[in-house]
Amino acid sequence: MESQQLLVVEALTAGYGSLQIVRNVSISVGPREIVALVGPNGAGKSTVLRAIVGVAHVFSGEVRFVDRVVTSSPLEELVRLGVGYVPQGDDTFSNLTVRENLEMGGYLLRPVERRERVAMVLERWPQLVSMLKRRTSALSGGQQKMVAVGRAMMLEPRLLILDEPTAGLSEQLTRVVIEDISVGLARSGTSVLLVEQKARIVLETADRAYVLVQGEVAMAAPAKEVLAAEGMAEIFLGGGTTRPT
Amino acid sequence: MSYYALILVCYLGIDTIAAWGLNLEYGVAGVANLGYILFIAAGAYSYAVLRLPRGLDLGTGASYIGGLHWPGWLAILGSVVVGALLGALLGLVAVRRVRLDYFALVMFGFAILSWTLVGAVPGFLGGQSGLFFIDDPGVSRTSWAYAVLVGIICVACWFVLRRFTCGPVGRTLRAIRDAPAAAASLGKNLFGWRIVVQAVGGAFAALSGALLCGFLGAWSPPAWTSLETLLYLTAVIVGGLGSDVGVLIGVAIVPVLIVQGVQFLPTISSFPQFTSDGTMILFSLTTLGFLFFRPQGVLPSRRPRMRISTSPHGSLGEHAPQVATGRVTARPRSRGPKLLGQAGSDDAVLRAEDVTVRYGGVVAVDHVTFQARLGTITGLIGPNGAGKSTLMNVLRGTQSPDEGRVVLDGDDISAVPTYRRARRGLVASSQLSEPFSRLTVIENLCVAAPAQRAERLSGIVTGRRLWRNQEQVIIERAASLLEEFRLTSKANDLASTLSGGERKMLDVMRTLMTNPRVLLLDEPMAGVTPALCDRIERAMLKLANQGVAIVVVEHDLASIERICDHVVVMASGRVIDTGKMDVLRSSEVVQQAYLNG
Amino acid sequence: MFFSGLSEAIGFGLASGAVLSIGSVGLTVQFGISGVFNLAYGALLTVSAFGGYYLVGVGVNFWLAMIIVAVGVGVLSVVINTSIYAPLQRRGGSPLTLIVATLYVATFIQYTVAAIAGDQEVSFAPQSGRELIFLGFHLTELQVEFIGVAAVLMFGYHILLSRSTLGRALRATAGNRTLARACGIRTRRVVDFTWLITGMMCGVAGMALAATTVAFDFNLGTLFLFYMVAGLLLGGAGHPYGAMIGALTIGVSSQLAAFYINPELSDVVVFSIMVIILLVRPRGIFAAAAGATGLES
Repeated sequence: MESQQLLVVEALTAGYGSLQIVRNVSISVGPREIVALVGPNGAGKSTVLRAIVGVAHVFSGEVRFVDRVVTSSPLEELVRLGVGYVPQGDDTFSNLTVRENLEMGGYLLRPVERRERVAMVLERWPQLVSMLKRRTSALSGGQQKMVAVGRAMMLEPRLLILDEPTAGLSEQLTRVVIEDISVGLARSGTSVLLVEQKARIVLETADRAYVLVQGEVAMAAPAKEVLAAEGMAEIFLGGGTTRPT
Repeated sequence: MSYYALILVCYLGIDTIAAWGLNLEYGVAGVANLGYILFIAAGAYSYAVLRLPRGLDLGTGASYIGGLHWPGWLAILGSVVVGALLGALLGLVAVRRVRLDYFALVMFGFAILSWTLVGAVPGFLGGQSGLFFIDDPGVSRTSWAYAVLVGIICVACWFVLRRFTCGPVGRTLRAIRDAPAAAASLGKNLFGWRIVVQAVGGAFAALSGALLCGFLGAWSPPAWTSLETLLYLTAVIVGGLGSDVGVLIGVAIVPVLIVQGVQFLPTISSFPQFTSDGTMILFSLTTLGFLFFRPQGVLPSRRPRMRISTSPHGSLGEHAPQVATGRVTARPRSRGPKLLGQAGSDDAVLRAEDVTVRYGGVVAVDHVTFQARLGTITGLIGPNGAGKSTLMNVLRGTQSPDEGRVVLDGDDISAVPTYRRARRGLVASSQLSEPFSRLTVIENLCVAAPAQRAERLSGIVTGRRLWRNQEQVIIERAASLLEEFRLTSKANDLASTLSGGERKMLDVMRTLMTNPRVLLLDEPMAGVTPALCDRIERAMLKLANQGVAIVVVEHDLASIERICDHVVVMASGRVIDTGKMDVLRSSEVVQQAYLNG
Repeated sequence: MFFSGLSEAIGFGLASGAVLSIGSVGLTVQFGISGVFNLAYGALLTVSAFGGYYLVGVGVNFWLAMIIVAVGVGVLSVVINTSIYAPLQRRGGSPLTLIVATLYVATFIQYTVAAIAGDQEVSFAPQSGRELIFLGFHLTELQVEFIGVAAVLMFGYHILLSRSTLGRALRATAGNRTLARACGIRTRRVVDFTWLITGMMCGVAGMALAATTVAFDFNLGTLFLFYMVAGLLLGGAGHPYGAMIGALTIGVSSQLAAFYINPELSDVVVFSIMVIILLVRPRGIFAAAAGATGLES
């Protein structure tokens, strides 16, 4: 049922400047769901996310968040509606401490609430406690990612949008982060929409997935089905012109 | 009336020479010299003090140094030399590590500083009232012969200019402009080129100044306020940044605009060509308009299109049968003859000895000893924050170790800068894979070719004849690389249009063009689809077979297992284990390290 | 006699340094928030000076005129950023292109002023008041007032930055704009507001300069722009507290140079300092000392 969906993207055509990167893309994310966007390089996965949050240009199509039309709404307004966003790379305030980063995530909250949320985030990611006074620029990639996600969670968004959260992380850390996301966040009722290069790992944890090829949705199905689909191997191994069944 | 026309024509030529120099500095090399007028003034003053007789009484109480009363042509030559030296000197001092907008400020400040000093010291160059009674250079300044002189010099300048703005030299300068760090990793001497550009630009400016001074017969501070640089800058921007012909048009527009504008708007000083209020207002608005609506100028520089033959298989999309046989499995390759290094020697060609790097209180690399052998692929793995990238930076020269040293072929290269290491065969790709965005894809590859004759002094002087053949060879090599990586269809597209994965491949291809002996690859497969990873892996294996030593940092352990002979594991700045990947996988120590992140 | 000359010079230096610091802070914050080295700041100083001159000329009280001018120049600054700098950046303009653009904006403004006001020198120093001896330094009443204004403004800015919500929004926006938006910060408003208050600082500085200079013409701004640039570079671009200290240093050094060497060459000293800093230590000297809690570039 459409009105039950948290996020609905319909026939989105978007890109940068006059360049159209994605065409006619339709995806949806329901409550308590993890939805993955996978596909070969240059397919436009990040562009879809950026178009949703208002950082890329939307040529046509519609984006609805909880039945409210938010196409091309600026990111800061979406955040106030309950969307969280962690960009790819450059995802923390590098010259602020971990605590300051988290507090900045709670910018919209009243001081009392902010303190409570910080405590909550630290409970969920206890490794951050020992790093509170350190600047994020001094942390490793995996630690920075934790701060980044923690920062986004300060506002307890209903939908968390992650752009390649495991980029540059080791295999081990990738699993940790993906698991964190699936277990921890789904437990708190947050839906997740993420773009990932490491398709295999993500498809093992997500609920549903969309496969984007050359700017268009080539497949939309439960994650397990996508993982097992014929032709998937070719999409990732063979240059991407064949479409899976 | 015809005298008026003579003035216009002479100014056109004189200003064009100056604008060409600025275009070389800014449009091609990307260095904004906001104090350019200083060099023009240097040329004018040099001409003056070389041409004037000694101790002429100017009637102003001021005096000047020099006064060698040289013949005109020698005075002009002397000015050019002064301009070149001044440019080289300021380049030496200023272009080092300064951000480009800071450099612009430095030059601006320098120009004002010099202007203030010259005006305040009456005994140096005539002080505030300046120098006059200066003879023309032997050609009458009131006759059309002067225009002919200027014209001939212009044509000569054109040919010299083209040596720098076109061909391989122009390509190298543009590459340095677009991504200086990447250019250095490929062997380009940034510092050297920047000085050359400043010297040549300075020479052009001084030549222009000398001709102008010879034409006017006088020169004083009001003629060279810092604002004048803006005139030339506008000509370059309006005409076409980086385009020599465009700049000519820009110069025609700007002085014409000003000269004509003067006739209809109120003027305020005795130098009507330059300082009428309304003209300045109009002129600044026009330039801003161009910066906004047509930043490429009236006649933009055209990107070169190279014709390369396409293979029978065509471009992307058609699979050659080989690809579908799947990923590279084991390492069924023979150890080919070692190209370089002692025959049969197992000595490491590259070695890091007891290297330590500290950031503040953190030890990023802790007494690490590491080596790479010719004909092998060494993997460097480890959790994030292990110090792998830092170690790579030390090996390639972008970072110096606090302790320890780096040895290449038995020589200590710890103090050798990146570009020299590249010339010795130690080449690195960067994690960021910066393409030279305003060059085409094939130009990106061609610029990486080592030891280009065109870039040597002999090449610049002799011209195309000397390097034409080599260039052809380079283009063919680039074309075949493009084909191997299936990017032939994008050969003539600007590198900025490539997707993330394609840029990574371009970065790897660029390093391959340098004929490396030791190749350092920092996460070459990050963000690249498995199909493309395949191509990169095959290229690496081929290189290793040819005797190249490769060090690769990667997170994709399956890939590492497939191609590496030897793997080194780092964690928390130390080497915790080495060996073959399958063994390492089951090592407790390694597993712990990865779990802890 | 020697002593009073020196202490007078230092006193003048502190006073001029105070005025310069208002300007330096505004300029450095503009750089911090938008990444633009706004060379048109100097032209706006000139606008403020002449604006004040005209207002005082028609009988408006000096301090009231300063407020009016400050607001005017503040609004003008917002307009310039919104209509010229920000769009250029959005189109992919590099810092170099931006600095070149600011130069043309400066030229445009400066020559508009010249066209309206003519090229003669004007002066409108209000009553300097009695001479005071303030902490051992000889200063006029007016100079003390300006030091007071500067102190109040700097303190107010410090409070804004460190305590207020807006201050935190400012720091976030300057640090990582997309991420600030992801925190719900309305960055467009923050940027506009920043240009407004830094423009107002420019206005105050311009009038203060005009009031403390014997006579000025439409070149006033260019000269003092470089004093302010030298000050802000000493403190590290983008660091407001560093800029405060740097500007004071420049003020005092230029007066000392004028006293010991030659008044005409005090400009040379300032330019030299600027060039040397850019070459030797572009990150500035005082950034660390002032506690780099400011905005990083």
